[in-house]
Amino acid sequence: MISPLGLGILVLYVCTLIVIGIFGARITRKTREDYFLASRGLGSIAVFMTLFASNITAFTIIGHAGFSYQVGYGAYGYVIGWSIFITPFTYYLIGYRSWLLGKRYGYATQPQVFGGIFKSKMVALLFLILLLYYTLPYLVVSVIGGSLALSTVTEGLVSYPLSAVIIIGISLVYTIPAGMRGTVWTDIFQGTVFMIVALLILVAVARALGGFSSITEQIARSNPAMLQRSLSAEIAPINWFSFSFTNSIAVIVFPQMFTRILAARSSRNLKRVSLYYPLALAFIFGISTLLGVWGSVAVPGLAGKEADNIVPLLIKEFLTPTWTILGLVVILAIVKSSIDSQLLTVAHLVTDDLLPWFRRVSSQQAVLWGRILLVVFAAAAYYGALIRPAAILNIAAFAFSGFSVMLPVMIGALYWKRANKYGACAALILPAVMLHLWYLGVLPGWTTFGFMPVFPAFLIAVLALVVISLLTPDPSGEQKAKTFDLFEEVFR
Amino acid sequence: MTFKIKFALVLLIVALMFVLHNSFWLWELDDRISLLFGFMPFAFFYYVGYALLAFGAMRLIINMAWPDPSDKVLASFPGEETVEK
Repeated sequence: MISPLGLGILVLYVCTLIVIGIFGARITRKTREDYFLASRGLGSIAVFMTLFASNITAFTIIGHAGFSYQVGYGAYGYVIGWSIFITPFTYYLIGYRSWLLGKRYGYATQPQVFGGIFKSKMVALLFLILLLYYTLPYLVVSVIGGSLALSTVTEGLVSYPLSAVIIIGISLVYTIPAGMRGTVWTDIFQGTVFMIVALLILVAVARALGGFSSITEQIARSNPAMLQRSLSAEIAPINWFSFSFTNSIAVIVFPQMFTRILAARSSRNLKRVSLYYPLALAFIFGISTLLGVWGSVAVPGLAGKEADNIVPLLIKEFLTPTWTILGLVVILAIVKSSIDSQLLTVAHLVTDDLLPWFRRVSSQQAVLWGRILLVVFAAAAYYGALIRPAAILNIAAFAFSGFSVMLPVMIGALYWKRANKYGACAALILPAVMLHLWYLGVLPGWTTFGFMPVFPAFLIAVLALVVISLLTPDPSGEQKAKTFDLFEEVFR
Repeated sequence: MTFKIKFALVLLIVALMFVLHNSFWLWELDDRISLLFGFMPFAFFYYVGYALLAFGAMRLIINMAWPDPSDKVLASFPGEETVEK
């Protein structure tokens, strides 16, 4: 039963989001630049919080805690270790140069940036297809994860289908009227909420279990394997190495992250984001790791997917019902802040990069189309979450790898003058095909030589870009100058 | 120092961070000094330290190889009205 205080917290949380949406809608103008990119005027805090909140998904507090429950403290380095450095580094490596091109030429999405650099509609189309292909299943999985979490935490009081309606519905309330500004402002609020409340939950659980030292000593006594990475088969060195090529380098390729970087007001904003991002990632995943590992001694015996419920279980077993509501708010904030940005981005991609193939779309019409598409994709995500088609879940399972293997083309486009559209097309198509062959079991497992498929697929992308580019004509001087003259002016 | 040299140093920092992340030879310390200061698991503490190192590495990269666009470059960026057209 929800207490009046708990109900008050929930109502306050939802009302705050709605009020933010209303204010955002008042300021948002009906122009393409303002609706989809907040007129490229986001300050440091706004860019930081929207990137961070969009980056952190239900996996952080549900999946990662469950993994830590099973694997121990090593889960921290395995899942987030390399990301702590490389994710903010890619904001410099890819983000800053793309931001410069966006400012100079008005590019707003990856198909525009990389189609523009290679002067190729085919490259733009491949980017569009692949980004939608991987983002849409990822969106459906995000809704499924959030809805399962919501219905679990409320012990079925809020059913799974109703949870999906609530998660998608609240996101639409502020995203439809206020576009990027709505998602960014709510990200600032939701990001702050989930960081603070998650820390409070950690402290409260630690106190309930006898304190940090006492729990750690208990773990060392009863299950010392949780302290030793070498004892876990899941995080064997070859998997650890391969995983460096999966989620860590994929983040900058997510279209919702890339677009938000283009929306920064200045170079200084991006610098501040890159500087403080390592600490924020380490902070939130550190909390999740500790809760998961502590759970292994506090609530032992959970097997397989059951372990994913460890954080809600810890709160329920050791804290008061009001904490359960706070935990629910954390999950809602984390889930919605990533779903709203995914929804807006897929609507943006279709509006800006697909519709113009069929008809001219004016700035005002783009806003209208964006709003219509938001509803269409939200309905599709809801339907997908209800029926959970196997094909969608299969694609989502390697979506991160799919994004990762697009990175070589992005790096080549921004750093190598000799890279051309033929090399880019080959480097987008070949690794995508290979990933499917490996993940769908068409090719035998030994063909990856023990690595996760993402690693050989990444090498294939690099090889295809280099070899095909060198075997085909050099891009014209005019085409190269359009991109690299700007870089030479800045990077002296 | 030219930008090319600065960028080569940046890549060196990236390589160093990658090696420090994949430092499997240090895993035996998980057992040998499993609890640092008597309460902190080494496998966890290593990545708290790694995060601080990443912060330092990003600061170095930003100071060394992340120039802001000059006023001339900024002036060459079109306004929102132009982009909308």
